[in-house]
Amino acid sequence: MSATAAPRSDRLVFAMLQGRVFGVAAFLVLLCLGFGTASRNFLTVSNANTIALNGAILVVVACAEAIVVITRNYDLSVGSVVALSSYVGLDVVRRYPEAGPILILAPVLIGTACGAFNGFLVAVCRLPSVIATLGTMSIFRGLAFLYAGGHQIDPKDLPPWVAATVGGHVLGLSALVLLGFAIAVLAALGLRYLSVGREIYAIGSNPDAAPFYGLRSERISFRAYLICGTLTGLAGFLFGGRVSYVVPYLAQGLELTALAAVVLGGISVLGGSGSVFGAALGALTIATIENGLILLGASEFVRQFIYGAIIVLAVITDAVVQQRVRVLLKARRQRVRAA
Amino acid sequence: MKRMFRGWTWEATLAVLILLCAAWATSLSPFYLDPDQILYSLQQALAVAGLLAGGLMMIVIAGEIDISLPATLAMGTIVFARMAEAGLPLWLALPTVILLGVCAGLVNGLLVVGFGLPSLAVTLGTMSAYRALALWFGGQEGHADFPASYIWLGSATLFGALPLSLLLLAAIFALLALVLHGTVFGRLLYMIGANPVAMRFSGIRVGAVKVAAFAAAGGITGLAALVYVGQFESARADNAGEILLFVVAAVTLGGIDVFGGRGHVAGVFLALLLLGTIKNGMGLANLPGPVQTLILGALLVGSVAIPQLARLRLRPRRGAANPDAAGVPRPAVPPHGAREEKT
Amino acid sequence: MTDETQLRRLAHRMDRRAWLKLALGTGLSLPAVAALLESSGIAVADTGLRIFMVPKFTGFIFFELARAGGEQACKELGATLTYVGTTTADVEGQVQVLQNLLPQKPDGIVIAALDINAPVPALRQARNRGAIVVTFDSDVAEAGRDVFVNMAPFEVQAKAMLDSALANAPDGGKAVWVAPTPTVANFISQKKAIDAVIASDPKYQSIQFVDTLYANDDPDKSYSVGTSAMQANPDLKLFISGSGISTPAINKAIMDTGRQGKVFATGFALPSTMKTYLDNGTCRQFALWSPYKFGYMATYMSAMVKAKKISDKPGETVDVPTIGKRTIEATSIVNLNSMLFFTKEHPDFDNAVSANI
Repeated sequence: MSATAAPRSDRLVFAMLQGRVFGVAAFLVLLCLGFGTASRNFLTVSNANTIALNGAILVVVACAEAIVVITRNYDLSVGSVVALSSYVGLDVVRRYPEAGPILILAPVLIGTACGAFNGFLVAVCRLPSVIATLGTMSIFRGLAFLYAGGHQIDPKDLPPWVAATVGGHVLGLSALVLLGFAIAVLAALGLRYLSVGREIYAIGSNPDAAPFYGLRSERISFRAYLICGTLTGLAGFLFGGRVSYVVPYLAQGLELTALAAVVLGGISVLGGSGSVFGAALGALTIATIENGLILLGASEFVRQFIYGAIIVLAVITDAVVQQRVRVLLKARRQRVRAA
Repeated sequence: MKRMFRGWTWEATLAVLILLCAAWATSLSPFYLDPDQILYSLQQALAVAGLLAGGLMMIVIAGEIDISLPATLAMGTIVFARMAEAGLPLWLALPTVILLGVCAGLVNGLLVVGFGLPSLAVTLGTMSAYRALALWFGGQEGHADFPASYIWLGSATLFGALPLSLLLLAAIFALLALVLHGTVFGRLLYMIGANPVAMRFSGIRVGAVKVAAFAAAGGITGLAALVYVGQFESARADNAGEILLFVVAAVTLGGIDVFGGRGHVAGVFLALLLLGTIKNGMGLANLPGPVQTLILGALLVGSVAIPQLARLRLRPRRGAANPDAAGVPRPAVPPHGAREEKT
Repeated sequence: MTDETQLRRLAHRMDRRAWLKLALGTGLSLPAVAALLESSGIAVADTGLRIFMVPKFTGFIFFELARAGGEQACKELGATLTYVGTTTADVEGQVQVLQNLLPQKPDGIVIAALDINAPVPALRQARNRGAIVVTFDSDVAEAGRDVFVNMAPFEVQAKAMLDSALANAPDGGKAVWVAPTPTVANFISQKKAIDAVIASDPKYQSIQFVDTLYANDDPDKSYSVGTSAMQANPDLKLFISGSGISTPAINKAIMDTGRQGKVFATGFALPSTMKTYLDNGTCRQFALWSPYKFGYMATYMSAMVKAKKISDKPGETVDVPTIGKRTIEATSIVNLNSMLFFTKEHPDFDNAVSANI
C-alpha cells in the first residue's frame, strides 16, 4: 500500500459507514417529501414534534434490538420484557409513591434481569436465540399476566413525578425525545469506542474466528443481551409512564416492529455490520409512516397496503443505495491502485 | 441400526418428550387419554398450522424467512368465501386460491432475490399488504354459509374418527420429505442455506431455487386456506392472526436452523405433535391462560436447554456462540466480507 | 476402543441421563402444577352445574369484573364457574379453548366471542351434548348459541356515547371513531348504530365523523394514534370510542399536548381509569354499564336455562336479582340495559347516574 492510500482508505471507511445510514436517511427524506405533498398538515413543526415523541420509545427499543442483532442473534422477547418491566416496575412505584424517581431503577433492573436470563439461555445453554427468545417471550408475558392478576395500573395510581419525568421538557425540548436521542448516541459511541462494542461487532461478523482472537463469544453475547434488557426495561418505564396506564398485554408485537426498524436501518440480520444510528433512523421512519398514513386520511385498507408497500420500498432503497456505494468504493479503490 | 439412528438425536428427544407430555397431560386431566379426543384436538391445533409449518420449513432451510404466510392464508379464505358466495364450484375455487398463494409467494421470492433484500423486512411489508388486500376483498365482516363441498376437506373424518385434514397433513409432510431429502431441488435448498456464497460460485441458479421455495410455500398455504374454511366454516380478513408464533415455534423446535442448511422434516412433524399435545393437555385441565403461556414458553426453552446442557458437560469448550439446534457447532463460514453481498 | 468411541458412548449415556433428569423433573413438577391448579381455584365441583366462562382474552379487566359477577351468580345458584381463555385476541385459540371444553361436558358456556362464525362448529357440538351457550358482549351466529346478552341495544349504546360526546362538547364538531381492529363485530355494530342515530336524530347532527382509526386495544398505540389524528385534523373536537383502553390513553394525549377543553375523548371506559381525567376536567362525561352485573346476568341466564327454570324463547321475562326484569327479545337477545353515565360528581359505579335512554 502506498503512503497516500492510508488517509484515503480512512475516508473510504467513513463513507461506507455513512453509506449504510445514508440509505435510510435518504429514504426518510423522500418519505417526508411524499407525505408533505399529500397532506398539508404534515410538514409542520408541531407534527415533527409529534412524530419524534411517538417514535422516541421505539428508538430505544430499536437500539436495544440492534445490539443483539449485530451479534448475530435475535431477541423476540422485547415486547414481553417491556410489559413485565413496565407493570412490575410501575407497581413498585405505585406502592412507594414517596420514594421518587430513584424507582426508575425498578423497571430497568427487571429488564436487566430478563436480559440476563435471555443471555444465560443463549450464551451458557447455547440455545438458538430464536427458540430461546420465543420461549422467554411467552415466559415473561405469562409472568406479567400472573403478577397483574387481572388488574391494571390506572393513571390515578401513579405519583405525579412519573408523568412529569416522561412528559417533561428540558431546555424547551421534550425530555422523551432527548432521551431517545441520547440513548442512540451513547449506544453508537459505545459500540464504536468501547471494547465491548468492538467485540460485539467481531463475534457477529465472524463467530468462528473470534476464539482465535481470544474473544469469549459467550461472554460477549451475554453482555449484548444484558444491555438489550436494560434498555428495554427503561423503555418499559417510558411506555408505562407516557400513557400512565399500564396493562399486562401492552406492547404485543413490539418485537416485529423493533426488528423492522433494525432491518430498515441497514443492519444485517446476519450480524456484524450496521450502525445503531441506522436502527434509530429506522424507528423514526416507522413512526413517520404511521403518522403520515393517518394524515393522508385514506381508508384503512389503503393505509395498511401503503404501510406494507413503504416498508418494502424502504428496504429496496437501502439495498439500491448500498449497491451504489459499493460500486463507487470499488471504482475508487481501482483508481487508488492504478495511481 | 445404530448408524441409522445416528444424527437423529434431536428427533428422538422430541419423541421422548411427546410421550412425557402425553403422560403429563393424562395426569392433568382424566379426559385426555381418549383416541377420539386426541385426534380431534390434534386436527384442530395442527391441520392448518402444520401445513404452514411445512411451507415455512422449506424457506427457512434455504436461509430465508416468510412471515407473510398467515396473511396469504387470510387472502385465501376470503377468496374461497367470495367464490362460494358467487356459487362457483370447488374444483374452480381450489386451483384459484392455490394459484393466488403461489403468486403471493412469488412476489416475496422475487423481491428477496431480485433486489437482494432481507426476507424478514420484505415479508413484514408484504404481510401488511396481503392483509390489506384481504380486508379490501372480504370487507370488515365475516363470511359463513359455505357449501358442503368447501367444508369437506377440513371437517370430514374417515371411519368416523380419523380426520381427513390430519391425513392430508401427513401426506404433505411425506411429500416434503421426499422433495427435501430425495430430490435435487431439496439438496439445493439445503446447500443454499448452508453456504450461499459457495453456491453462487458453483453456477447453480440460487435465485430460481429460492423463488421456487417461496412459491411452493405460498401454494401450500392456499391449500391450508381450504382446510381452515372446513374447520371453522368461516372466513374473515383477520384469520390466522396469531398463528405465526406457533408455526415458527414448531419449525425451530423441529430442529430447523434459523440460519439455514439444517433440519429434517420429521423433526418439524414431531415438534408439531409435541406442541399440540401440550396445548391439548393444558386446555383440558382448564389451566388459566397466563399459566398456559408460561408453561409453553418454559417447555420450549427447557426441552432444548436440558439436552443441550447435558451434552455440553462433556464436549471441550469451543468458541461458537451460536450453535445450531442439534448442538453441533456450525461448519466454518466464509469471512464476513464475502457475506456482505447478501444483505 | 479409541478415545473417540469412548467419548461417544459416554455422550450417549449422558444423553440418557439427561432424559432421565427430564423425566424426573417433569414428575417432580407435577405436584407443583397441581398446587398451582389449586391456588388458581380450579377444582372440579361435586354438585351443581358446571359453567365455563370464556372471555375475549384473559387479563382484561372488563372480563375479570364480569368473571367476578359470574362467580357471584354461581355461588348464589350452587354452581361452579371455571374461567378459561387465551391471553391474546386469538380467534383460532378461542375455538381451541371451546374444543377442550367439549369432553368435559359443560352445563353452560358463557362466551364473549371474537368472531361471529368461527366458534359455531364447536359450539354446535357443545349444544348437541347438552350445554347451554350464552354469548355476552359479542354474539355468534344464532346456530351457535341459545341466548345473547347484549349490554344494551346498539341504538342505546350509540346514544350513550353520543350523549357523552355532547356533554363534553355541546356544539359537537369533527369526530374520530376509535376501534381495536376493523373486524371486531360489536364495534362495527356500534358504529353502524351511531351513524344511524346521527342521521335520524337532529340533536346529534352537529357531530361529524371524519375518520376511523384502529389502536388494537393498546394504550401506547391509542396515544400515538390520538396525537397523529389531532395533527391531521387541527379542528378536531371529539374522539369517540367503545374501547375502554383507548379512551383514557387519548385523554392523556390531549393533556400532554395541551388541548384540554378543545378536544375531548369519550365513549365507554372504566371509572377507575378515568378518575384522573374527570378530576382535572379533561373529560366531562363518559358512559359504561357494570361489567360485574354483565357477567352476573350472563351466567345467571345460562344456569337458569340449563336448570329449566326459564326458557330461552323470545317473550320470556326473567327477573335477574340486583338487576331487574328483563325480557328476551326476537332471536333470543336480552339486554342488560343498565347504562350509566360518569361525571366528576358521579365518578364511581356506586354513584354513577343512570342513563335513561
